[in-house]
Amino acid sequence: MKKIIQYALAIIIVVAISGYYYVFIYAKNHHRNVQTETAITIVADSLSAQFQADEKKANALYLNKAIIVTGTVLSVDKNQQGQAMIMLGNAASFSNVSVTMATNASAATSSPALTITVGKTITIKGVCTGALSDVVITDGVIH
Amino acid sequence: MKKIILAFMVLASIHGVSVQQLQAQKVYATKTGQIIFNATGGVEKIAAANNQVDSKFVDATGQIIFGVLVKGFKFENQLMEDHFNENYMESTQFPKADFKGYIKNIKEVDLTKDGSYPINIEGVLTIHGTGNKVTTTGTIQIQQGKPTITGEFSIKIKEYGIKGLYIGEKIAADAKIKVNCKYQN
Repeated sequence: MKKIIQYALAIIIVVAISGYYYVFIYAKNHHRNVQTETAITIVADSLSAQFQADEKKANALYLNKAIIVTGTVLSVDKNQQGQAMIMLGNAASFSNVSVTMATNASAATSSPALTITVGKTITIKGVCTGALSDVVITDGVIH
Repeated sequence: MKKIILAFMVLASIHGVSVQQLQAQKVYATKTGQIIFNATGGVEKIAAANNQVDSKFVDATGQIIFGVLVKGFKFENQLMEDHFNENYMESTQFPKADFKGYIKNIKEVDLTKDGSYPINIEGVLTIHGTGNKVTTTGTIQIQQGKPTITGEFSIKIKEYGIKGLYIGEKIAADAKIKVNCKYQN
């Protein structure tokens, strides 16, 4: 009987420590790393065209998914927080693909992204968060 | 015949005025505005920032819109971010939130002159597929001809049909929304 109580206590302690570690340490320090995920490969013009044609269907296919998108650089800028922003697509299109680059230095510091020139064709891997006036990709890294 | 000519002249003048108004109005826009959401109810900080806010406003009418993708809100804690999307905002079903309204006192703002101008905003905020009327105040700061709108207001989470555990406890019943949008012209 004593042993059963000891085992039960040990299990409770292990579960409690694991829970504490997962909620307060692991989840705080571990962020989704899209670069390790299998991604959908697509051309920027096609991605924005699909969202324009049927947003619901496009959301079902791409929302929150890792995407490898290739397109012509239309602009390179910084957002209000100093993160690099790259617009991919076609200047004549109503909607394009707006990529906010990852901020972690090891993956993609702002500087290499900002050296990318307009008109060049590049490939970026990131997460699709949906579409506003453009399709939005976050956590982008040059692929 | 005289009447036809008169009617034609009236129509032409109305058309002329509306074309002039259209030409005169200017649209300010940004795709990189920031919205910070804070629903801290207890000890643990429950806050997230979105740096891809899409917003436009028209100087002549004061019409203003903000659009934001819910999955674009970044938390310091990944688990919190996952719960926010899956259990509370249901962002797969409701991927967007927006505000459509008017700067009621736009006429009091001189967009050509650097300075800080208080503004009153009224419109409908739609979150989680539910729209509610919002009236708030803010500021337009003009610097080198470029306007920045800042403001802060609170919403009652449950009024937007958001359910889930801990609302009113660890998660505040009223969430604070902070807006900071720097527009291009």
